[in-house]
Amino acid sequence: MIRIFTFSLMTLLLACSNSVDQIDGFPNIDITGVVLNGNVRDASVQVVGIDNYGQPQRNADGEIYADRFFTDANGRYNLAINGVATGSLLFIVKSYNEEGRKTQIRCALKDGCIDEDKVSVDYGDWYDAPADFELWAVVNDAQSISKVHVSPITHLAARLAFSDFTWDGNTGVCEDYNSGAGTCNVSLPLNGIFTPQSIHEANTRVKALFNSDSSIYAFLEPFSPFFTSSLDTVSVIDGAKHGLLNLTWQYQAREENLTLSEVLDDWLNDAFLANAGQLYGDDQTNTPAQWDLKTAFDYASAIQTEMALPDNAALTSAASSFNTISATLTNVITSEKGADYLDNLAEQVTAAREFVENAQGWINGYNNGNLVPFLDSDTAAEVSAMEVQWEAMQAILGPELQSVFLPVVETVHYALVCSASASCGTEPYVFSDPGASISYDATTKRFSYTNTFSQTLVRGELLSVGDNGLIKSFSFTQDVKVESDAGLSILQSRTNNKASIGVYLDSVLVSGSEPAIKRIEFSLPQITIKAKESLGNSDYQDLVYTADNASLVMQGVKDPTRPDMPIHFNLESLLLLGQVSNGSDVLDVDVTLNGSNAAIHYPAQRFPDLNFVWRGSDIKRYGQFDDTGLDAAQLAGWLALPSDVTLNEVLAGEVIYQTQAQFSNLGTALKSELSVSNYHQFEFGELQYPGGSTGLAIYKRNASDSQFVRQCNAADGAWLCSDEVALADLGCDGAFKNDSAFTSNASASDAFVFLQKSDCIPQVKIVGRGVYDIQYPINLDAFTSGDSFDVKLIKPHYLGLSSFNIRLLSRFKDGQNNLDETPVLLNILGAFTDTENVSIAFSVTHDFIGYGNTSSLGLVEVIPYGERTLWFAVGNSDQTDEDSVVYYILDNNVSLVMSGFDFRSSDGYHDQPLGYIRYAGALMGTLRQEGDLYVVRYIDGSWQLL
Amino acid sequence: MLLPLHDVIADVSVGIRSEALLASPAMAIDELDSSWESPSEGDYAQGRASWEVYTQLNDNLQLGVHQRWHYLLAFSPQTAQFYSRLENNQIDSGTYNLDFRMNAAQARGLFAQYFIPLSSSSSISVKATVLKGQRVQKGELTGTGLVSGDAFAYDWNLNYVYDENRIFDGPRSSPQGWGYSFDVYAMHQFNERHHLEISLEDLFYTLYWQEIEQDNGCLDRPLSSSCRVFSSKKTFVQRFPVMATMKWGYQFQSLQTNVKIESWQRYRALWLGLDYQGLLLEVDGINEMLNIGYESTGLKVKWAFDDVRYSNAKHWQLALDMNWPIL
Repeated sequence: MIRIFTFSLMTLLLACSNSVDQIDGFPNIDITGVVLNGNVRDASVQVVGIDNYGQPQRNADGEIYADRFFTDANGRYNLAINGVATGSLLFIVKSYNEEGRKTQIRCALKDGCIDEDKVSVDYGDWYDAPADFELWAVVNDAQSISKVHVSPITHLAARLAFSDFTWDGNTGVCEDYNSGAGTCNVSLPLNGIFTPQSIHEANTRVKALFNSDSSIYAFLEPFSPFFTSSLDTVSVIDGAKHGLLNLTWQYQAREENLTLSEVLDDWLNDAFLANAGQLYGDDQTNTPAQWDLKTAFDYASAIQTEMALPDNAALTSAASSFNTISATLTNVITSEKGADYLDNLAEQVTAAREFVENAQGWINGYNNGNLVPFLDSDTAAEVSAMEVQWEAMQAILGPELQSVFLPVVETVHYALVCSASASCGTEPYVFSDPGASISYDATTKRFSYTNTFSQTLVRGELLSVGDNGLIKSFSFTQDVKVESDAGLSILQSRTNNKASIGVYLDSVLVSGSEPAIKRIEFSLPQITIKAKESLGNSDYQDLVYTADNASLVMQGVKDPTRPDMPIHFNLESLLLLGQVSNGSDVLDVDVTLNGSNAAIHYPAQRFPDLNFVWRGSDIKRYGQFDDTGLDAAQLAGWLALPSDVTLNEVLAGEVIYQTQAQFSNLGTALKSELSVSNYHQFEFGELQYPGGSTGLAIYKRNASDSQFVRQCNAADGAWLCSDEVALADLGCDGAFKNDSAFTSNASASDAFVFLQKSDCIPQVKIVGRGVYDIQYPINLDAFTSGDSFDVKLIKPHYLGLSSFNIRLLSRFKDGQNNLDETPVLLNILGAFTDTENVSIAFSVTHDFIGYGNTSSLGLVEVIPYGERTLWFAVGNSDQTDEDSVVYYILDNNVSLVMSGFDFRSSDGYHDQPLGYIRYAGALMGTLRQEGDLYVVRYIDGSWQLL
Repeated sequence: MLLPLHDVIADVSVGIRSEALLASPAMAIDELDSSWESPSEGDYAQGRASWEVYTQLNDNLQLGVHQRWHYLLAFSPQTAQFYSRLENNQIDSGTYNLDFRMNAAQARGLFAQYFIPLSSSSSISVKATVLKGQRVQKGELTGTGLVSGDAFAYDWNLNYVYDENRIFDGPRSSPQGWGYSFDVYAMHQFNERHHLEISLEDLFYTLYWQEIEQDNGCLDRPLSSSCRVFSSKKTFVQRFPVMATMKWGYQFQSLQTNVKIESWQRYRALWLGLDYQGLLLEVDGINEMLNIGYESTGLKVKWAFDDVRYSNAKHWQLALDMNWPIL
């Protein structure tokens, strides 16, 4: 529980707003600093946090998500950030030329500078900063900072910290993947990631490269001749170094007649990043020579001379230090290495590698149906033992499950047939069990079913619900027991909580006729099922299945194109919150299903095969993405085509156009719905299709009136008509009145022609089959009564699941009869409405922290969180045209989140890592595809191949 | 390759030299980059090529520019079988000892060659080349592969130095390196019939790379936490083996017969040949190669092969030397 709250709290912290508003109880963090030695005024300063993926936090529009502050006339800024901010912070300084502000740079060279137009600027004068002026600084530990200075030197460190963490096998950053390598910019860092390690390493490396003795340059206030500093001796000298080095930016621009942007580009992209964060000491190799340390130090020394401040000991000392180093520099690239952020970085990276090793073993084991690597040995052994018992139960009872429920169904069916008869109790009835019989007590009106098995007794009464006789309820007056060769079922039914079966009829019961059942609802307070040791044996297996408050709803459907076929039933919903137990060990087994299209899919079978819920091995295989041998029929008909339907089929002449000019000749139901007595120039035109029709009633209220229309639809014999509107306004896109064929005395045919041309009536939905396109002839200019049209299937009515959840939670006991403290949770949930839209998640959790209480779900019950969790989610969608897989693996402190996408679209270029490995939330490594290989790269520079 | 130094022109001349040697007994040269579906017996694939443009300043001194490519691939036969079967999904169960080594570089430089007549019947020539390294691929992959049915495991040590990471198809960098190499040629005429020529090429051939990318560590499957590879950038010294050639010739009137032995790391050749007034015909008894060529004062051409069709050849050699007097 505590871990969940901590996890949630961390998530909130990392996503919290960077507003200046104080959060109650947490004082703001005040930060100050200077930009470029205090020589940039009115520049925008933003401080942004680094998110869990090593990226600066951005809003939905991709903009930096941070308040904006500005430097004052002395190039200093003062800002405050949220007091709860933790982690790394990126400082971004940019030009800002809006709202009356104009970012400017002060010339700090005694011999003057040049501006961006290469015009001379005197010492102390201000000139406009370039529009692309941008400098960064990045630091760790937001809670512990108060001063951060931004300069070209800190910019080098920040960009290095964000530079290539991994490389994905493609050359450069491709702006337009389809255009090929020609548009790839190889100089941009690819998939840069900030980590505390990369930030600290970069800052300390730059500190070493540029000879700071005290701290990183972001914390060193640089010397400026325009104000004094109160730092200690060493820091003053290092501050002088920082100041001099910063001024080499303007100096080099002046000396080489370049803009500041060009100089910074030389430094950053052509030298520093090109050498992976190193520099030549004294470049003699390249032509033109790269910016190197000797250039930087010599320029800094020259600036000190130019300043002519011999009494400033810090400047003198700094220049002297630079001169000493410069004299030793050679044509060799440096090999500085920064410090590690964490003392125990090596341990954490090792833990991350161990995690990857374990995770690979778990996934391999899971795919092979072996949970031993994931679970502890005792739990794995108990799970395996339970699995054996479950399979033994399923082997006997699975194929014969109907046998322990059929007597109940037959009793109800008999009651329905009997109740319509005048001589109930004497009708002949063929039972599936030749030895079965039902007796009817006319006094109590109770039915009793018995068969050759002594334990079998089904007793109950048929009640009418409602006034129209179409809803019946068979209520069991005592516990129901049904024994068969395969097992025994017990349906508990007590006085205050009776088991019942609700039956909805399509029409009233008629003696001698089969009941027209269209819906069946089971309500079972408790169901217990046992399997026999073997078929026909009198002994039972140890394993018992029990479910409380079970419910099952089956919805009947007819195929209107085959009216002689009986109603077939789909599973609309199933709720089984049960458990299997063998006396001491218990395994909670909860199954919840909600079907989609249950009312419009006509299955091949009369009743759904419910044996699937018992096939533990099949569920397990499906959880391992192995649906070999699983067909739709075995999945209770889900994702199967409707009966008699073939893809792209054409039904000939199934849509027929009919007209009726006399209101009085309409059917009673339609007349009742239209319910108007006076019509002038009445005409009703309709398109009839199997199971329904759609029509237009066109009329005038009086002879001089304009025409009105009401649109009517029929389904299952019931009509529903819209309110009347002017015929001129008829239409789904444009109005009829704007059509060239519109007249003030338009016929139904005219209206239908208009609607057809406007694509308002392109399809019909046939219950039991699917959605069909109406195959209108080309250039149809009239609808004539009796015209028929073919229809072509475009989308079958698949029986899907709008949601399902299968949940297994172990409650095993050890040898001392103590409850196992490391329960295992297997959770499968998802939805699939058709073959194109599927989303399924599987999770296996060892040492689940919840209580398995599904009757009132708390937070811990919905999150599969434990000591170790394997969680997969797969999905595909016809909306986004992509498949996706997401993995989440957790082992104590270390986690791996991995997502893979299969872009079937040719647009877009997916270059992000597939996965991130974290230790206690800190990024330790990434998993990505490079070339044809999958590689895990860790922040200490090591890598492994998967 | 032996220089026709005894035919050196007294006046200044310019010339070009080029040669190529490709040897791959395990499979056709053309199939080296494939999935190695049917490897034959053989534990190496080696190649070398070079071209030079030179000026002969006088009888003794020759200066020129030089470009060279070296490629030496050595592997155990089990490695070839393991790789072949792994790539072609025909893996047999068992333990495979894996040893795969590559040493390749491209370099360009300047050379100076000095001819020293030791006596009327002996001479020696020394050539010194200073090189700038352009490309490098050097790697060792050693370890064990274990196959059991459909599952397989491996444990490899990797040491890889590169300008272009071929494991991940990485981008190509411009490495900085320099080096040197020496060639020594010696000739002794015992009498009017017998003479002996010895050449040692790539003697002490070494390239010193600065800040070159390297991957060092181990790769295993299934993964273990202690096995990983570190990428770094540091200096590296790359060395190449010597190519030694010894040729014994017997002159009878206009016809010369000769026996020549070549050795370059794992490559060996034993040539028996006839030279009739510059027309050359040789047969290599080890590699079943045929060499035809022509050699004169200003032109040398040679073509050696085991199969005329390059796509099927496992051994190919070409040489072309030409020089012209300019003064």
